[in-house]
Amino acid sequence: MSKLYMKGNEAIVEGALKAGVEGFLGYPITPASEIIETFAQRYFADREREKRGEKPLYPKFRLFLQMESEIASINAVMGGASVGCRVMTASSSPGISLKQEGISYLAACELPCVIVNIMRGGPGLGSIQPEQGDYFQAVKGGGHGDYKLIVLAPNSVQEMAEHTMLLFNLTDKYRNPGMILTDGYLGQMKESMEFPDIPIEKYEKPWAVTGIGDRETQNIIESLFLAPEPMIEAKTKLWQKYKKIESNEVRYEIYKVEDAKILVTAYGTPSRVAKAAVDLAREKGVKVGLLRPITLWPFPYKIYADLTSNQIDKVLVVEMSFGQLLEDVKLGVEGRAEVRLYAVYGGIVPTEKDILEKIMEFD
Amino acid sequence: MRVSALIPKYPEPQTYLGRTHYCPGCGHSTLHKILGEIIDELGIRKKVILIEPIGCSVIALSYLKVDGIQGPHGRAPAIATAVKRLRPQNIVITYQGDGDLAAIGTNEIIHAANRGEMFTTIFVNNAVYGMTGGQMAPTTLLGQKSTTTPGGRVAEYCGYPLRVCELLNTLDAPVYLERVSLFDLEHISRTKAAIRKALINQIEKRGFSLVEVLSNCPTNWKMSPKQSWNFVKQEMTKVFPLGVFRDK
Amino acid sequence: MMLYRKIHLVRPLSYQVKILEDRCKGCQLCVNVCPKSLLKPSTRANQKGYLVIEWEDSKVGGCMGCGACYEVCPEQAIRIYAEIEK
Repeated sequence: MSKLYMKGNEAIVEGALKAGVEGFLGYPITPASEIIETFAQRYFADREREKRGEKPLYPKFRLFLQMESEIASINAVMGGASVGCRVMTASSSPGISLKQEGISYLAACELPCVIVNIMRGGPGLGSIQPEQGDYFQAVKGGGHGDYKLIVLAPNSVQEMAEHTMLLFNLTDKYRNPGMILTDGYLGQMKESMEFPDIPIEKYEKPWAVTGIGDRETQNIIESLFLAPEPMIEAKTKLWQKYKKIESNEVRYEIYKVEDAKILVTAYGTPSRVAKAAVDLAREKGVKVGLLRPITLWPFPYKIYADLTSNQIDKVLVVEMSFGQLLEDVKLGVEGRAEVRLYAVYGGIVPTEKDILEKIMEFD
Repeated sequence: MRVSALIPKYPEPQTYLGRTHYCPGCGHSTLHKILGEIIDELGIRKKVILIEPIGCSVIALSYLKVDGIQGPHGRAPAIATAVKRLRPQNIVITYQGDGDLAAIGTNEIIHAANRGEMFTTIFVNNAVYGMTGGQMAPTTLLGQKSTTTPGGRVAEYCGYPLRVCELLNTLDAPVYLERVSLFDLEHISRTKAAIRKALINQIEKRGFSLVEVLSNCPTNWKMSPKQSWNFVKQEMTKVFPLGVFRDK
Repeated sequence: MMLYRKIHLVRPLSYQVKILEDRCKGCQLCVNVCPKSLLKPSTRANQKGYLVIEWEDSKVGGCMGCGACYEVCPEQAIRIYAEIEK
C-alpha cells in the first residue's frame, strides 16, 4: 500500500470508510470538527458522483447527518446500531459527557458502535488544548450502571486509522460499544501513514431490528428489566462477555523492558515523547523501558504485574491528567514497585527533556 | 330446523396482543388497539419498527407484535431518524407521551420534524406524567392539580400548557399534523382515519406526520374512565383544539 | 375476508356478543356506549380481580351488531358474531 500524509482526524475518517462504515452522525466541536467535515465532504462528493451517473466511492456510506446536538447524535447511533449497521460518532470531552446516557443504553442493549473522543482540556468548558482527563470517564464508565466500553488509545496518525478499523471489528464481534480515546494533539497532527490490511470481519446479526417479517419472535432492543431474575440473567451475560474480552483482547506495546530497572508508562501522545525520553535515558546509561497500554479497557494489568515481579522496581506514569492512568497502573503493580506520577496538564504536552529529567530524578 | 353458523364480524387482531397492564379505560390501550388495527388493515406488520417511549407505554412492544427499540426518554425521533434513513423500506413509528415529546424531547422532535424525516409520530397527550405517579406535564392545564402542582398549575410559576401541533405547524417540512381524541365513537373513528393517513403518508413517502391524541389518565386524575373522557371532551379540547393543522 | 362480506349480503338472524373475561378490566366504557343497554357489570371477578362485564341480549329491540362496544373496548375483549342461516 502507498504511504499517505494526513491529519489524525482525517485518518479516523479514512479508516472508518475502509472499514465499511454505514452511518456517521455527529455535531461539530473543537478539536473534532474535522471528522464531521471530512465525512461530509466524502458523503456529498459521492452524491455528486451519483448525480452524474458515476459509481460512488463508498457505496456503504449512505447515512451522514449533522444532528442537532451531541445527545441526538448518540441516540441516532443507537438507532443505526439497532438495525445492524456500522455507525459511528465523534466528539470531544464536553460532548462525550452529553452522550453518557446514550452510551449506557448502548452498552446495556449490547449494540456495536464506535465513539471517538478527541480529548481536550477539562473539566467544564476547559480549553481546546489537548489533555487526557477523560480516562476515568471512558474506562471506569461515565454513564450509569455496570458496563464497560472497549477503549483503544492510538498514539500516531497510523494508529488512528488502524484502531478505527480494528474497533469496528471488535465491537461487532462482541456486540459492545467501543471508544477511540485520543487527544487534540493527535487529532490535529499531520503525519505519514499507510493503511494496514485489516479485513472487514462480518458477523451475523440475527438480533437486529429489521421489521418482524416472517419471524415468530419480535426483535426488541430494550434494556428494561422490571423483575430481579431477568436482570440478573442479563447482567451475568454482560459480565461473562466482559471476562471474555479481558482474556482475549488485551493489547500493549513494550520497548526495551528486558533489562530495565525503571518502567515509564503512558498512552497516547505522551507515549511518543516517553519513547524518545527512554532512548535519551539509555544513552545516559539508565536502564529504562516503556510500557504503552493500547487497550485501556481491557487494561493490561497482567503485564504490569509480570514486569514488576522481575527486576523493575520503579514505575513512572506520564499522563496529561491528574492521576487517572496512575490508579490502574497501581492496580496492576500491586505494590511490587514504587509508582510515581508525572502529571502534565493545562494543554501542554511534555517534552523528552521533561520526561528525561523525571526519569533521572527517579533513578 | 334452521341450520346456522356464527360468523365473526371483525377479523382477529394480528398485531395487537391485548392483555395490557394499562389501567382500565386508559387511552393507551385503545390507541394500541387502533394502531394494531390500522397496521393489520394496511398489511404492514412485517415492516413496522416501533420506537417506544419512556412512560406508561414503555413496554408497548409487549402488546404490539412488531420489531422495535426502547430508547432513552425523549430521544425517539433521533433514533427514528437513523433507523428510517438506513432502512427506508421499513415503516418507522415513534409512539411518545407528553413528557417524552414535549418536555425532555422537544429538541429532538422539532429538529426531526424540521428535517422532514420520513417517519410517523403518535403523540399521546394526557396532561400528566402517568408512569411516575401524576406529576405536572408541559401540557398540564392551568388550574389542573397534579402531585407537583398541588394547588393547581399557576402560569407565573410553571408557564402555560404547550401546544405541540401549533408549534410544529410553524415549520416548513411536516406534511400532516392533526389533533384527535378518543372520547367517543365519532372521535375514535376520526383517530383511526388520522393514523391511517399518517401511515399512508409514510408509505407513499410524502414526509413527516404527527398525530396528537388527547388521552386520559383515570388513575392519576382520580376519575372513573367515563369521567376522565368527559374531562378530555369538555376541558382539554378548550386548551388543545381538535382538528387538522396541516395536510399537504 | 369472504366471511365478513357474507354478513353484509345476508341479513343475520341474530347477533351474539362474547366478552373475553380474562381480558376485561371492567372499565364500563362499553356499558356507556351500547345504544340498547345490553351490557352491564357483573358480580364476577376474573383472575386479575376486575369485575367483568356481561352481555345479555333482549328479545325485543335487541343487539343490532353495531359494533360500538367492540370499537370502544380498549382491551379488544369483545367479540361479535353474526348468526347466519346456512
